[in-house]
Amino acid sequence: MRKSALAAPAQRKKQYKLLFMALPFMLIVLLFNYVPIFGWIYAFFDYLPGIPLFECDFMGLDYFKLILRDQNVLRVLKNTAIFALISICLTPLPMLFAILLNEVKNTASRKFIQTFTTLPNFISWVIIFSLAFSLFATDGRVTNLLIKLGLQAENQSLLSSKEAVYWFQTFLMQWKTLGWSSIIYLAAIAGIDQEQYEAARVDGAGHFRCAVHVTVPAMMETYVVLFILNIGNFLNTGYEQYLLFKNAVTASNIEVLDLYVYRIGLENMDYSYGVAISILKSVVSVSLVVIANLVAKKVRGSTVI
Amino acid sequence: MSKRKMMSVLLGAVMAAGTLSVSVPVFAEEAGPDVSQHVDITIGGINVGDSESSDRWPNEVVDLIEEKFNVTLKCVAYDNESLNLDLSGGTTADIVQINDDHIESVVRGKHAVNLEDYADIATNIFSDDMAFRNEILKAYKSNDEGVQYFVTPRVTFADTVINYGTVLNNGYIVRYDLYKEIGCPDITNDDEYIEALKAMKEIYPETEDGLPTYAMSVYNDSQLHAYFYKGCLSEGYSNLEGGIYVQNAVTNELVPDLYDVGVESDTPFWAGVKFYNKLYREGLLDPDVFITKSEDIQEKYDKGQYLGGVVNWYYGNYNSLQRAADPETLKEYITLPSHLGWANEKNLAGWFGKYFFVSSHSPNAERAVMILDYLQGEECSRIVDSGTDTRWGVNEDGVAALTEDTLDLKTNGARLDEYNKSGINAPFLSDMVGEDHHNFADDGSRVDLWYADDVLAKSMTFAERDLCETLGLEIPSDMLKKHVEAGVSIDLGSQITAIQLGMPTTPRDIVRIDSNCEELTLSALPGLVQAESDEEFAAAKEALVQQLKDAGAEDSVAWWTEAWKSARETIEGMLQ
Repeated sequence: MRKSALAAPAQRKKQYKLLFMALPFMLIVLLFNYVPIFGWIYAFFDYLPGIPLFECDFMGLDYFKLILRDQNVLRVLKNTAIFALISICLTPLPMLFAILLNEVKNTASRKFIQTFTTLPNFISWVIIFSLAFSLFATDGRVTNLLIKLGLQAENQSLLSSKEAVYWFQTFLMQWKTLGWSSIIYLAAIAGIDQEQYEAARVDGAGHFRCAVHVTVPAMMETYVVLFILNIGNFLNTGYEQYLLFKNAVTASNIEVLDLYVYRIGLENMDYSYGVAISILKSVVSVSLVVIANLVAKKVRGSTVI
Repeated sequence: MSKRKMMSVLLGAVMAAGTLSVSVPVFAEEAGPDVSQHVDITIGGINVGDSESSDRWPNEVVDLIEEKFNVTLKCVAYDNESLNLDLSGGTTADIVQINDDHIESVVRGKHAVNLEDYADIATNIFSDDMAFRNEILKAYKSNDEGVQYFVTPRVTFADTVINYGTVLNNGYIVRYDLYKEIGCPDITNDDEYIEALKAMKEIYPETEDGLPTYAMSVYNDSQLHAYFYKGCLSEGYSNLEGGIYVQNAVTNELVPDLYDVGVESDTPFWAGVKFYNKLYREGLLDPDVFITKSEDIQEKYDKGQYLGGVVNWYYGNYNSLQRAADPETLKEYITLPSHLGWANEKNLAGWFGKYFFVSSHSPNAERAVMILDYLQGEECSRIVDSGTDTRWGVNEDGVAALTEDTLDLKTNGARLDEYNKSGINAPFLSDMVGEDHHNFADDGSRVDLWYADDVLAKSMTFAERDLCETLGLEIPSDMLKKHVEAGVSIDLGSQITAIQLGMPTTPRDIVRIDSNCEELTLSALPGLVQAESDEEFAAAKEALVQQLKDAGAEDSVAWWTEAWKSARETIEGMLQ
């Protein structure tokens, strides 16, 4: 009794320390995720940059009503959903890549592959666009190769193909992020008890069976958590990639919600309407996370958030 | 010395001292504001370049301005985003150049100083020659009190007689060596131009480096500009910003460009699209036409992959490099006149869509006003266009003229670096100065001495001289003169550009409709440009026009038509 009474303040002190360590991160979240919510107020005014907000005309819910009449919103939502669904379907890829990488026993080769695949994550989309232009334009190297192989007609380019937009952009996104996304799975693999592999091998399992029966189940927890977080980001596709690759041919298919908000808000300087669409996006995102969480609870018996 | 003498000397000394004490303030007043303290002045603007990344900045002209006003001058580029951010934070450059989209923000947000408060130091801005321009700006680009916040660049004075310059800027562009090789055929319309391009491609299917050649491509980073501007030149219109509406260069009527229901002939946009469609069907258009941006086009021009074009923005580098390698080269792009020669433009109220103001947040507002005023004046316009007074002089007749060395400087490719450092046609400042190139200065010469009638023929390159010899011309722009005389071409002489300045701010809902129509049109372009037959083209056009109608194009047309009618009546009334 006396012992536990003595232990309690020490434990409390330790928890305070942890809380103190978390404070900077909480501050960052507060600054960059919660404070900007104040900006939602712009959706209720006819805001003009350079004029104090409260001197601008009050619009009430007019911009939200406008969303309902705006046919572009449906189109961009469709595009966003397609991109998001494709990327959700491809969520096992980093896990698969991590498993395969784990099977490479030569440390130098493994490290090289890991570095080689992680680096594109740090290349800006502008550079990737330039690279893609030199490879996939009508006189690009890859295009010439595809033409020689009879896989593509002359004077055609993947960059100006409406049909190829969804998979081509997804391919580029996967190429850029695959290595980076697999890091968390590599960490999960490192945490698997080696005795499980030894037991499996004793039972006659080879590399494949070890991966299927030991590695994959051990990573499922991580996968599910990331999957649910991904669903929360369903509408957060970003806009840089799509802005750069947008052209007259791809425009109708490549314009996602974030890009539309960028165009409305920053290009057309219709800030208030842009904010109204952003609010809609936030509401949908939060709803999706709640739904995904509920589904997870039903399926797994526990929630993630 | 007698007492009387001493008294008179003393009195004289006192009087002299008294006179001196009176004359000191007068002298100070004449000297103008104090510029003894060195300050930094930044000029920022939409479409203004960044001086720090320019190898032509500083130059002799900039040095002179800096010395005169004891400042360090810098130019910064603004886009809508950065300008809005600076406006919101009250941290704009000292002198700012905006377009119509920002007028309301600047005026209502009180970001600009009232230039009339500085009338005593802004004598160029408020000179009699600028009175009409100022009247328009006070009436249409101000608050209800009619205060003057803005100035426009390149004001043409009422008595200015304009010539076409040495060369034309925009029209039917050709690679001269190839054009000569195919016999310099006369080009008076799009079909003849396409035939010439076809013939040029036949003799030059690929560059010396083995790269394929094309007639041209489209600069996709300027929305629909490449299409409607091409059509403006062939149909005789000038575009309002965005090109959704155009102004007839002869009748000054406003015509809806995209939604052309009820318009009898082809509007510029549709004429432009038809032109690119013809190029496509002839196999002359760059297959990357929908993905090329300005930098890609620049690169292909530099490599000599394009045989033609519409605007002179991209081939200057190629020409300079060719001349540097061989001063007697014929490998140069030149511009032949289209139906509308983009010349003889009388901007009585200055250029539309470029408004300069001095920021009310500037810590050196007075100095900024002084510099803006200097930029507006004759002296600065002269040096920006013609170089500092070491580059020109006054001859025996008292007329200012460029020196022979300066004439050589411009055309001699080997002196390119020296030319860049001279500040002649100074980068950035050239679009800021107040006076039109053609205005006459107090010394009786044109503000821009390169436009002096006797200089036009002296500033030609070897290829241009060869063109003149081949076609029997004095200067290349005589082609336009001949076409105008023959009734084949027109120029901008009848256009009243000031009407555009008299348009009210476009309401937000109309802006939304116009923006949506522009986006719909952009998406429809591939179907139109790549149509394989006239029927396919007509079907694609019909589909787009219906989409535009559904997007509210008729509401937009109604607003623009009414606003234009009202602005035109008022401006024409002011001009009478």
